[in-house]
Amino acid sequence: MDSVLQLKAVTKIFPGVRALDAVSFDVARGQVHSLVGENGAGKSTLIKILGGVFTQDSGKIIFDDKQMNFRSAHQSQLSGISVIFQEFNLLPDLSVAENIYIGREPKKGPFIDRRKITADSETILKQLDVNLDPKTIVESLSVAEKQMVEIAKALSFKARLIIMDEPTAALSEKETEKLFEVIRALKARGTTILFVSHRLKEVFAISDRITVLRDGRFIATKDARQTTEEEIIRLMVGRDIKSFFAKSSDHSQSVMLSVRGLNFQDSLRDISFDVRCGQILGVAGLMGCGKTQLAEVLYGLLPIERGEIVLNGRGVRIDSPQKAIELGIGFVSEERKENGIFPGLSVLHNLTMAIIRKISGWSGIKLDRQKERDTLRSYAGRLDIRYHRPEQEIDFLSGGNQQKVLLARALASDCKVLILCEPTRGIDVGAKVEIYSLMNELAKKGVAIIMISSDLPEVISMSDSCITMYHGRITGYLNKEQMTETNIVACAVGQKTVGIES
Amino acid sequence: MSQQQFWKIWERFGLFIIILIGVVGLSLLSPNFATMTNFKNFINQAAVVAIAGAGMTLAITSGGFDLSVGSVFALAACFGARILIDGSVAQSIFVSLVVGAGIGLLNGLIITKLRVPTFIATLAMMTIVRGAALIYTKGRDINIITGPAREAAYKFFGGGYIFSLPVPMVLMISVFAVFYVVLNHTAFGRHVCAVGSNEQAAIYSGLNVDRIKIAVFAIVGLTASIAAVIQTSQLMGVNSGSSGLGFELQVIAVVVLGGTSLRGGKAKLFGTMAGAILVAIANNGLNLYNTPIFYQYLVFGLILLLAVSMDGLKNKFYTPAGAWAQRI
Repeated sequence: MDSVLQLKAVTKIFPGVRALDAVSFDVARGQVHSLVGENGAGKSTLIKILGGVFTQDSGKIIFDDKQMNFRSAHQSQLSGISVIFQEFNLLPDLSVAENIYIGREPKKGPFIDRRKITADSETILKQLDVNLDPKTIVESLSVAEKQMVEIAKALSFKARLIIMDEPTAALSEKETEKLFEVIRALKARGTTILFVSHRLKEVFAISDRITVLRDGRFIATKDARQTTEEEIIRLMVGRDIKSFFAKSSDHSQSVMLSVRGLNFQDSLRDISFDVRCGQILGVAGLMGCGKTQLAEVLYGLLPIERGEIVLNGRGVRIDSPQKAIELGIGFVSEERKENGIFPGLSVLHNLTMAIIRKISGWSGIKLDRQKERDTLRSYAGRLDIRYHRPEQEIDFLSGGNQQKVLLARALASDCKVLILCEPTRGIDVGAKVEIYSLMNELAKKGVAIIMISSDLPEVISMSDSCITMYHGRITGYLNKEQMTETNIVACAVGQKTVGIES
Repeated sequence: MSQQQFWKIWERFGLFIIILIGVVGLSLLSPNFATMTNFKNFINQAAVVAIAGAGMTLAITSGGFDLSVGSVFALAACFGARILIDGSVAQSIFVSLVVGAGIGLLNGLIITKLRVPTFIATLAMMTIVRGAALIYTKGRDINIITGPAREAAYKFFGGGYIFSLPVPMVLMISVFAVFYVVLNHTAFGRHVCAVGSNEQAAIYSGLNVDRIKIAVFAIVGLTASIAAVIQTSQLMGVNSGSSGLGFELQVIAVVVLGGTSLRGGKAKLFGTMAGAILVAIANNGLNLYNTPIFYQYLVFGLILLLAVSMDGLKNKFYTPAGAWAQRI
């Protein structure tokens, strides 16, 4: 077999995690090779190394029989590898042709030779059989068209290996079909494609071979014709699941939050579910499936287009986070840095920000510092938040401790429904276990918890029941027995549905 | 003294040490510096900038700033002066303050409800309000010539004494006392820091970010108009074209000089007062040597660069104690 790319024991370590652990496999020339795995399996790290964004800590990359050690994205591009990331590297205000030749424009004297770049771009686009005017400004293009510009750019570099990271994530079915045609055309010209995707149906439709990664390790490479979706899912998941805490769910409890026919643009379509007091409902799904939007709608960050939310038997309208907090809905966001912590402010102020007006006299004109400090002390004890002094800036706490402060901020408002987005992402194992035991404690006290998570073992061990989402729809209502990783993954990639009457 | 110790002391007392050196130096160099008349001169100048600076400190802490304070200053002065000619002192001051707070409120509404970026909104307001002041006075000076009793009463705010302290100084200290309490002892002050530190997180924490911003801009306008009353009282007149020209930059510069970060979230309230005093002392020193006023611009710019570069160097070489311990 003629390999265009060989990986030999490629390893990449980030503080606290082995993102890639001695990964070795070959990619055959002129094939479409898919790379699959759960979130955190190491796919992104791998393609970033191939794209020159990261450098591996050890191991060899052999591309076209030459050992490569990319130090920059530019180097990787020059040697014939083009990576098309999910976020495109296009300049929106320039034309298609200008984007394709950005940084290496042919010159006529001091000026860009526009006629040449337009003509050259046209040739490339024609090869791809894409009907696109090179003079169009990129901003006005659809996602699918922008993708074609990226592919054209890769071809203009004479790329022999094109890596596509979740290329179909934002495409419609028709656009996906068009992309596949282009991929087949590229393959016919001898270009190799490394196709990274969560969507197994598409993977099987386009690939010659499939490589599975799990937890940073190489698991297997299979010939697409000799394997099945079921086998790949098993390989993706296949780990022993140690449940953290055995919990018994009590269905006699009353329904706390009930959602009926919720819609928001394309992200949420006819979402309906119930959460009972003391229940932990897991929400699983791939990136872009709408689970984040679901949380944001319930917390008043996004408006509802259609549908209703019933809280404790009463129909409610949640149009702002203030309203949500008033109604007793707490929220811990997945973006700790972006919309969680207040950098530069103290641990104390971070924790009490949402309640400071409430716990102070004269509606906030006279701060009650004693009560404030007591609040901190009590939550610090319950959640084991470790800090030096209450005045210490939150920036200097570890990720796990910052997360606990945010959790405490939500809890301090006395919530009856708690929405947690990726509650343990990027924190160490010790803090994880503490957050899990706190969730169980809250559930015992009757709080209804909605846990949105990409971490399947977490969903399975923590949830009493679970819903899966795919393309904005719920594809599965799973009870404790149905909650196997295989089941969840199958629902999350749209391969099957559970508990849905058709 | 180790480098760490040096920066630690600089962080806390840098500005005050420089002021002290300036005061001692000028007292030794010029026999006219350490006199009551001269003290009154520079403290009056400092108070006008410092009071508007208190408001600006709040705005910058909330992650914004206000370019319209110079024009608001002018319009408040024009209205105040014009009304004093026929009306009472109370009416005049009341109208000045309402004009200031009102325009500030408008700034806040435009920024939050119409979603106009702060820079553009306050820049537009700067020229609109300047235009309004010129239209209102038809471009002419207003000289406050009215009953002697009324004149004397109005002069009190810029030139009077309370317990033998100049009134502008008393006003400055009072304004800063109020701001200190607001920033450190009220939920509102806490929320202002939150918005400046991370606006998204403030929204997610359920704060009414729009209302907080509107209040902040109204307060900035209010302080600019207090400053206008003091200066109008000192000059007993106003020129709508030149009054408060460049004042916004002076005020923002003094806040930055005082150490408040333009990134928001953290106020150095008394730094602003120290900054205003430092600039006033520098100008005063130049005046005593009859240096042309042009040099004041030059020196002002140099002081600003020096102070901010010291801050940059500090951040490069010095980390507060205990900050890293928790990470390990």
